[in-house]
Amino acid sequence: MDVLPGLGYGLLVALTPGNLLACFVGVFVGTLIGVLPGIGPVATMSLLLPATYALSPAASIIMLAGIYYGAMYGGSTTSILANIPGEAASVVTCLDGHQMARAGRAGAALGIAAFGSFIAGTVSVLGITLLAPPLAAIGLRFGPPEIFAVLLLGFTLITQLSGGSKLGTAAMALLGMLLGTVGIDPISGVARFTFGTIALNDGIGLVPMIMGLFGVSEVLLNIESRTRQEVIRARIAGLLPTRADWRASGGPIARGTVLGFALGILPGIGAIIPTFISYALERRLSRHPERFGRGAIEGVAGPEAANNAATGGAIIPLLTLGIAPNVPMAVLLGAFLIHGVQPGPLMMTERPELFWGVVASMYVGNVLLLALNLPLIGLWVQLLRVPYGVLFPLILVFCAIGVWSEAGKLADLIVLVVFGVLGYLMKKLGFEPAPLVLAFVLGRMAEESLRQSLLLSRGSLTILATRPLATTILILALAAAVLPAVAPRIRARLRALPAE
Amino acid sequence: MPGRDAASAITLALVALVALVLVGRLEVGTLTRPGPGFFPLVLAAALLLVSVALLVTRRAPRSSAPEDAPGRGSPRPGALLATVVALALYVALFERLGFVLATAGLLAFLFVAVARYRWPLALGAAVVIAFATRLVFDRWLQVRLPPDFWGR
Repeated sequence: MDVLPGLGYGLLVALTPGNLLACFVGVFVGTLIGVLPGIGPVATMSLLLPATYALSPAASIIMLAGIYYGAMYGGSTTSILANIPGEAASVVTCLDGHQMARAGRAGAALGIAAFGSFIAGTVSVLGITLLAPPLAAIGLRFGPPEIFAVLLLGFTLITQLSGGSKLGTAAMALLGMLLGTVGIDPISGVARFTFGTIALNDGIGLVPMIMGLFGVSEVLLNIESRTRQEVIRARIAGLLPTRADWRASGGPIARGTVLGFALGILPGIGAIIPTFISYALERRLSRHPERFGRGAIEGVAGPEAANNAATGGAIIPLLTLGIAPNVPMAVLLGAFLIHGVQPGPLMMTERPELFWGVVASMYVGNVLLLALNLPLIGLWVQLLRVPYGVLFPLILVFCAIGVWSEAGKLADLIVLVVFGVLGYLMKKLGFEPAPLVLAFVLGRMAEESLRQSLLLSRGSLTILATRPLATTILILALAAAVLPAVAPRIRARLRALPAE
Repeated sequence: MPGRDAASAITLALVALVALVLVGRLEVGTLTRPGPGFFPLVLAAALLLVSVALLVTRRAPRSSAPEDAPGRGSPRPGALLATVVALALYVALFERLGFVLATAGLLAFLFVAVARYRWPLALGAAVVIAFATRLVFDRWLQVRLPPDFWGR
């Protein structure tokens, strides 16, 4: 199916009453949890995953995707009004957004964040519409060696580009892959690392692990440090940006959109890194960099556009290659598999209603978000005033219910608590949990594709170097591994050249 | 903190060593026919190497340090410990006590011991929330929660 007829068909699917309701619920809940500090989109998607079992596959994915990009919108509200990031990708928005609010410009900050997010979100969906079909066509040529090479590229990028040290990230990725091998080996049927426990035969559950690492651990961190919540109490007015606001924000929104979308496609990047790069870029390009950190509207517009565009970019590898580039997409991959759908290059032809329905629902969702965000700002402000002492016990109970509802297994609740404490310790020691979860999901695919490649080539690893597509991807992985170490030396040499 | 970094590197190395010992019980196979132990062996060996490298370099892996995040206050280790113990007890008693009793107990304890609300208010709110949650999830969303002593 071509792009335009496909998109038209997708709009018909997305606008059916059931799917429209799923989209509305998704973006509303996403905004809500984005506004509330202490529970992120990943934990919420995992929490609501069992509730989507009764829905159709399209409605289920539309709702879960809506939670993800809805949270990006909502996160900025908390950053601007309370100086607490509602979710991790809104950290940068605190810097200038809250300063604008303190200077009486909360409305302008919220307005430009909403409009910037809408523009970036919509443009990134346009990018998905145009890029997904050719990428899916390339994906059809992928065999086990190519899949293994892509995963290797993903692991390299995760290690090189995540916020922590490279060694620490590599350790977390290896630990995640090792945890992914727990359970019955899918090829030989042998139990691995189960210690004779039947509960571990299916492996460690993804949902309890994610909710422990991202939900419970965040609550523990907040409890320990007693989150200070100072909400701006002045009346919020002037939500529509002025002409001067648009003039200042147009460039940052455009650059943030392109940057976020391009980086979002790459495995392991997520929505956080593009916001930092966008902020640094805008400060460097600004004629008045000294205004940054003191309420510069460009410092809100660029990062907000970047994190919303990144969410759109991230869905491309999932839909076209069946590879989850970040943790929320791993949850979405889990949802696809639960509904018996294998995302990948064949999805566009075998399940067009699902592929185009999800893409079209993102256009609809972005319009809904803009319509929801600005009129409901009063409600979000009231929510922000709910004390954390009331919220956190509820978050813990909802995490437990979410985990229990998946399979009714006590072992999953134990996994939830164990990974909650582990996540807390990891964050205290400066280790990022995201590489662990990503590697946990991708590691299983990596093992399968590696073993299949070795079987195909009768034990020769040269199969990775003899197939053009796999070789190209491997060269990219090698460049990603080597360049960060070599580039500073080359730059230093080049700088020294004129002096010589 | 070098001591803490060393401890985390040693812990990771121990995990890798335990995995290596356990892999010894699995068939590793060959490159031509890799067995179930092949991939875990490679991973455990790599994890051991990376842990040793972490120990040698002893540089704290800097993430977006939660302590430095905006809005964080002074540490309360007692509250943290109480929450973890309460959560562990909640899991242990989840099926035995039933959903409403276990949940009301957990909520009341956290409201009083961690959030510092007064007992009567905390207990009342905990019971109401536990019943309401049961109603929403069990009746409306059809999530099968553990039965209470009076039945569902």
